[in-house]
Amino acid sequence: MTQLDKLEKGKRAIIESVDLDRDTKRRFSNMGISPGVILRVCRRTFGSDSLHVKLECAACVALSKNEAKHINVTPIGGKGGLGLGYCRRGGFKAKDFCCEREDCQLQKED
Amino acid sequence: MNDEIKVAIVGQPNVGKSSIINALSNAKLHVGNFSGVTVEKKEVFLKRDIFDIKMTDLPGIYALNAYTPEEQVAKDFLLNEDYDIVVNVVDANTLSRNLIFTMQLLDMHKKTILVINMVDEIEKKGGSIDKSKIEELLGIPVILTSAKENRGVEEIISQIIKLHKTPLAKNKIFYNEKIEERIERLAKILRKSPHFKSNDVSRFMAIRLLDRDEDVYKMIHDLPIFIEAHNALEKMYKDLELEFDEESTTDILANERAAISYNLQMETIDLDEEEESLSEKLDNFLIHPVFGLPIFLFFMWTLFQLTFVLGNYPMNVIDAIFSETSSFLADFLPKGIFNSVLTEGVLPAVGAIVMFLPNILILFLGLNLLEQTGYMSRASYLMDGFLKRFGLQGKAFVPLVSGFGCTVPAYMAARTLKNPKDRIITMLVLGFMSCGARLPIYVLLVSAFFANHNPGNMLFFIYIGGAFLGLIVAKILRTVLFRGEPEPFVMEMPPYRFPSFKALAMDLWIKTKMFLKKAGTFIAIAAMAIWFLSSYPVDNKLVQNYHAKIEQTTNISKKQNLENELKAKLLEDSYLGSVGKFIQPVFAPLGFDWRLSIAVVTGLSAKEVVVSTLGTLYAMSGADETSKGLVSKMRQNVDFKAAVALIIIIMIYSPCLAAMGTFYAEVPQWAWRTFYTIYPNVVAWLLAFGVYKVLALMGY
Ligand SMILES: Nc1nc2c(ncn2[C@@H]2O[C@H](COP(=O)(O)OP(=O)(O)O)[C@@H](O)[C@H]2O)c(=O)[nH]1
Repeated sequence: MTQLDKLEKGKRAIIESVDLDRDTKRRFSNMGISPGVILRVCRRTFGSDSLHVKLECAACVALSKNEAKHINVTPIGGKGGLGLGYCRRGGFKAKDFCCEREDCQLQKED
Repeated sequence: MNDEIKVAIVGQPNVGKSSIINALSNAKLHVGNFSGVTVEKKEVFLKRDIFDIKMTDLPGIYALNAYTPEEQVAKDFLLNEDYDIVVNVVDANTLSRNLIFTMQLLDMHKKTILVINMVDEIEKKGGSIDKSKIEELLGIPVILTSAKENRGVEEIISQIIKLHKTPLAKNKIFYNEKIEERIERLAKILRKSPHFKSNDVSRFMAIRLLDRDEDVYKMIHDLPIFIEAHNALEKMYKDLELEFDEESTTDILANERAAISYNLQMETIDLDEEEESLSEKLDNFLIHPVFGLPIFLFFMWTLFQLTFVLGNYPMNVIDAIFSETSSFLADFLPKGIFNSVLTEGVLPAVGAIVMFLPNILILFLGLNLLEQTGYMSRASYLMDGFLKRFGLQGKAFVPLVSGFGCTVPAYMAARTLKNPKDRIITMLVLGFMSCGARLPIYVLLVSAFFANHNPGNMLFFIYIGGAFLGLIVAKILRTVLFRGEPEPFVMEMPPYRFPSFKALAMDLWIKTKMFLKKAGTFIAIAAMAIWFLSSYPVDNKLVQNYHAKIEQTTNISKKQNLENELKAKLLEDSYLGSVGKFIQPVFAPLGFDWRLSIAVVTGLSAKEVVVSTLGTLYAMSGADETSKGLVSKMRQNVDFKAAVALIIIIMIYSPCLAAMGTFYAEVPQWAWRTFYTIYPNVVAWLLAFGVYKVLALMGY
């Protein structure tokens, strides 16, 4: 597990938890950033102040490093686009995510 | 009497709601404000068969847990207003995320239509959407549309009528049993209150309460059932959080909805795995970590170059038309008051403004393009780090840039900032972003005093300089008055889209109409007033004296000189002249004569008036044959240092009355209102004075 702001560019990861105050957390979740979502870091701005991430629902969201620090993610192997998409979510913790597809390469870390 | 159907159109930002509304045929659009707030309210009126359909377009909202003040407006409408049908517009590209909000809407159990827009983009990617399956799963009618290709839009109307005639269908969205059990228990308690008698309302309220919705919590706070509901609720929070091992029931419900929507998308959209999209390729270049910012500055620079260079051609033509018409009418019409009012007052003033219409339109077109293509949110992202250094955050960028167009909507755009401190700082410095109405003044002064510099560069410099000053002030405000961190930055980056020419053209047309209307009414009246005040009283003795002198001289140029002297004297003794002289001491240290002083003060009503006032004042005084246009008259009458000081004053001092009114409407605290009314003028004067002195020392 690592923090979103430390995730390498281009790498995909699954969000495990969002440790922000309730309001902000809710906002992030409404915009698609919530546990169980797969995302990829597309780029950072100068000084690495903010990140540009692409979510599995195809939405792109920009957020600042201050908040990204509090988003814990587990990197997923494999390259390419998003949309593996068969990892079920809702009611599960990220580490329990089960994949129905063989090509799901979620690295289970403890 | 026709049957009225009231429709609320809701959706997340950028899903294409406006485009859908624009695509409706035979619709009457009415743009106003939501009551009590300055959020724009678009209403569309349509007649079909025997039905009058009234559609209200609500501000974009991500979820019922409203976050920004703007979203709150949409939520309040959904919760409290009276409407028959909800039309929920969603973006097919990001269906699963959009559906999370749909799920919240369905909790209300009202007649709802789901409009899945942008299907053209899905088709282009080779995908397809199983519409009937979504209808079956959600239990509501679904329409696939492409507002861009005008597909499916009319079907929305026929579906509204059809749905209006049919009874409300059964609710199909249910949560996990453990949650449903709590919802039912809580709803039962709520039903004891006459406000929540109906099963639908009590269920919806129970879900909102479990979702920790503060607005709904406040609603039940003063009811007799409160204690019972509150106790039950507290226990449910605790139990559910334990059972689901989550921090909050909000998270539990969010997970539930996410799971349903996600699976729904998986079941109904068939999409190939995406390769790097065009947007991503463009982004690699346009928001490059290093080159992104210079590219942005280059765009802005180009915009100001175009504003000046392209705007210059029609400007000269319009100027010529007005001055020719003026002199033609002056000779043609019988001499008298009407002639003078028209040819010395109204026409020069209105002409002085209308000639800048092309510049203003180019500026607006540019800003619109930035917004419509999706570049604006990229720019916000690019600027986030930079703005943080000044105590602002990336999202403040949109209002700030809109400020280059018009300060009024820019104040409204600040509503997308949640944190009140961030909002006030942004609004306090918004005036530093020179609006389109100030453009004519700059163009005039730059043409007159910086003729041998590149005028486009000068404009760019003035605009960026103003913006930079604004940022410095923001930093000072943040350090002195508003300590603390700016709110978290999170912002959607919609894909790049080709702008819709229809929308651009419509927008420019509306702007042109409004501009001409303003020039024809408000500014024409202001011009008449200024003409009157500057023409009266007439000192008959003085006139007789001068006429006698003029009679006696034979030299033509001497005659002309005497006539000009008379005009100037009369003007100085006029009402306006007296007022000007009265206030002139304030501006004297900046090298302003009474005419510039008056122009600056009248500019408080509207910035266009500055140029029109100058137009009238200089048209009336000392016209000789070598200086026809206003530009050369300014050059003759104003010195360079004063001109620079004037630019600085215009750049910083209070915006127009309309903008100030908007600020007052947005900010209820009198302390801030007072501060806002005074400080820009003080800063403007001090800075102008400083620069004036420095220029004097440098020998200008
Ligand atoms: N390809 C495509 N683009 C669309 C469609 N509808 C809207 N757009 C574009 O999406 C962007 C956002 O649309 P707009 O109507 O402003 O969204 P709103 O914020 O929901 O009102 C604009 O650039 C539109 O031109 C559509 O059906 N297909």
